[in-house]
Amino acid sequence: MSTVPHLEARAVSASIDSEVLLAPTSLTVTPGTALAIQGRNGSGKTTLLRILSGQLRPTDGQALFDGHPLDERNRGARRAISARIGLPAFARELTAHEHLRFIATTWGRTGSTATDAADATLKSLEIRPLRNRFVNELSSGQTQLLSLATALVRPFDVLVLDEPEQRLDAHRRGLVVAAVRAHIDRGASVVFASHNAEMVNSLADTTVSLGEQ
Amino acid sequence: MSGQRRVLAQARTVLAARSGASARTAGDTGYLIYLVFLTVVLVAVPAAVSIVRGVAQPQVLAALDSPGSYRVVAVVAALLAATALLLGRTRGAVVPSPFLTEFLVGSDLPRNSTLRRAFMATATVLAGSVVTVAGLVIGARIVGGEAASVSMVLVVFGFLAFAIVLAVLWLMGQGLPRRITVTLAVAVIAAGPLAGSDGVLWVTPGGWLAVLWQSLGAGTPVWWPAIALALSLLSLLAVPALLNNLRGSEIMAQSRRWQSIGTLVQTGDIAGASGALRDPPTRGRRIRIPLAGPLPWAILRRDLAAVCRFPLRIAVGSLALVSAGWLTATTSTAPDGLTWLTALAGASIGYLAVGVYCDGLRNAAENAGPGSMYGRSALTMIGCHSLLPCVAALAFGGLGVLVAGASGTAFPWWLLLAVFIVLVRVLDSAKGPMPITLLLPVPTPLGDVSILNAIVWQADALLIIVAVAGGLTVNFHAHGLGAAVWLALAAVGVAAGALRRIRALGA
Repeated sequence: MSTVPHLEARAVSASIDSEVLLAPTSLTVTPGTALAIQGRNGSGKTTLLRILSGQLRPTDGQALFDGHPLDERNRGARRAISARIGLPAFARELTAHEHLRFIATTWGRTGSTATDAADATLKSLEIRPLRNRFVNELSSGQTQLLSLATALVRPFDVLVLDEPEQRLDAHRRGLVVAAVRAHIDRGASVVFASHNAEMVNSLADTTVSLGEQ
Repeated sequence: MSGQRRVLAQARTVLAARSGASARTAGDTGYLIYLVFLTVVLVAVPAAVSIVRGVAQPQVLAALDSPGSYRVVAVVAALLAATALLLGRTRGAVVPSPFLTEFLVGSDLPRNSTLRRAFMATATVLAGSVVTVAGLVIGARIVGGEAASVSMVLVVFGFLAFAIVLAVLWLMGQGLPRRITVTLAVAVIAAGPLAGSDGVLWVTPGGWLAVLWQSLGAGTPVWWPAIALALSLLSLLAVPALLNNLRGSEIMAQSRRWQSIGTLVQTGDIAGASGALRDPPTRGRRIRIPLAGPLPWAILRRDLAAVCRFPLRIAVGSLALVSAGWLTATTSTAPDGLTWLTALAGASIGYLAVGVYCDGLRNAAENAGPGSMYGRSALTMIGCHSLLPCVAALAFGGLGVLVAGASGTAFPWWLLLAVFIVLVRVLDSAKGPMPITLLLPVPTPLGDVSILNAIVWQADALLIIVAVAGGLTVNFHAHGLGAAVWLALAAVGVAAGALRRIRALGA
């Protein structure tokens, strides 16, 4: 296993004027491992995930990807990091299966490869029966599963998820754990924020607890 | 009944207190009167005068007075009636706030009581707008040298009565089953003046309006259509039953939708607001989208299959594109006073109509920022999703040019115009949120006019279309190649602006 961490945060923090969104935080995530971020509401979990996925530049400190400063403008970083923070901008005119096929296509998986990737992702989350539904026809839990599927269907080395357990029942949470575990086992690294102790215990190799602001 | 009225009056007192209306001071009222007075004097009157002067031009008056003009009135009236019937389910005649819907409309008071004021307000605004239009046209005829006559009074009255009938049709469209309103709308159009027979003018309110219009040119008043229109006001007797027939859940759905649209418009998110207006798809889910081949080809086929899931919307949009091409092509043969009208209408309708083909484009723009689902750059995705609107504008608009039977240069001009329109669509889709600085107060004697900044920002695409595409279409008639060069340069400018906006979104 590589000794260079996929992701590293060196005392990253975020603030707006005098308002501190995230206190200085350090962490490392090596390939084939999962790191859980825990903390109360407002402790900065989502802010930290946005920094680790390159969507937000830290006010102070440094975020590194494969040992280099993390920059979302870098195509390699975009290709390696799949982040699902909040719901994506779905296309209302596409069905669930078409969403996944289309996303896979834009990431270079064309034709039957894209279809296979979409099928496999739907199967892993047990949402194949929803393949022909439009997004507005999904329940909140089903929408959450499709949202997670959009992050899983594309190629990645690092997976960043914000509270993947949201709106899911115990069985579905187990499916998400199994799907994410499969990616960890193939060498991907995972960073996720969660309030669900069962999910944290099942997935995380290490945890980081953020203090309340 | 008196008990119901008392309950309703008390509820309205509570609502008035909640909205702060009862706390208005004499100073507030005085300022309001001052504001209304200045708005009327500085905005409404000059606008009305300039419109009357514009319409009073001999060419325009000649067109209004032409022997076939009554047919245009009949067609427009039929289209308005059909629109009122079809619009009801998207935006009904009665849409109170969600709060009112929850606690007043949802109470055990009859909806005929709780919603009557809302309907009266809608009918009043509609009647006021229609009568204003009629008044401006009549005013222009008088300014143009025609003597005031009884026929003119009857026409204005006819427009007033027709507007109230429209309000009733709108309410019917809101409450009656969709199959009935769609059938009625189709019947209004199909059995109307489009059938080519003057006989139908005798039996429809729109037809009576057309006959009244025709009497303007004849000079002698025709009373029977005015009386028929007056009798059509008896349709108001159906309003209580129609109001009682409305379903609370549907009123609430519309209330919530329009409240969120209002919020989005106030915050400058016109794209979000128009998105809330678009109904989600319910059919065509089994249409297969082949995502094979090069990405532009795959995305073109994806967009084409996706738009087939909105057959009515696409049919209307495509027809509108045909009419846009037709209007643009007929600009070169239109009378001098009408060239601006056809050119501006052609460009504006073309811009609005091509929007039905832009779902993919909008989704690509929404995904342009960090955290996009897609594996290609925003520029690539937006570029690929621009193909379908371009093809649709060229094909359907080109069909309109052919239908118009215009000269050889009209077709290349439309090709250039179609590309320009799609580029403006791209520019608009990549707009992002409105800069907050535009909402900083701009104090004037009329009060804070910062809203004008916001309006210009929100409508910039349409303003570009009207000023550049519409203006140069008029100019093309006189200067040909010169106008084409200017349009090409403008297209380059719009493309550069779009590129800048896409990059700013984080691509």
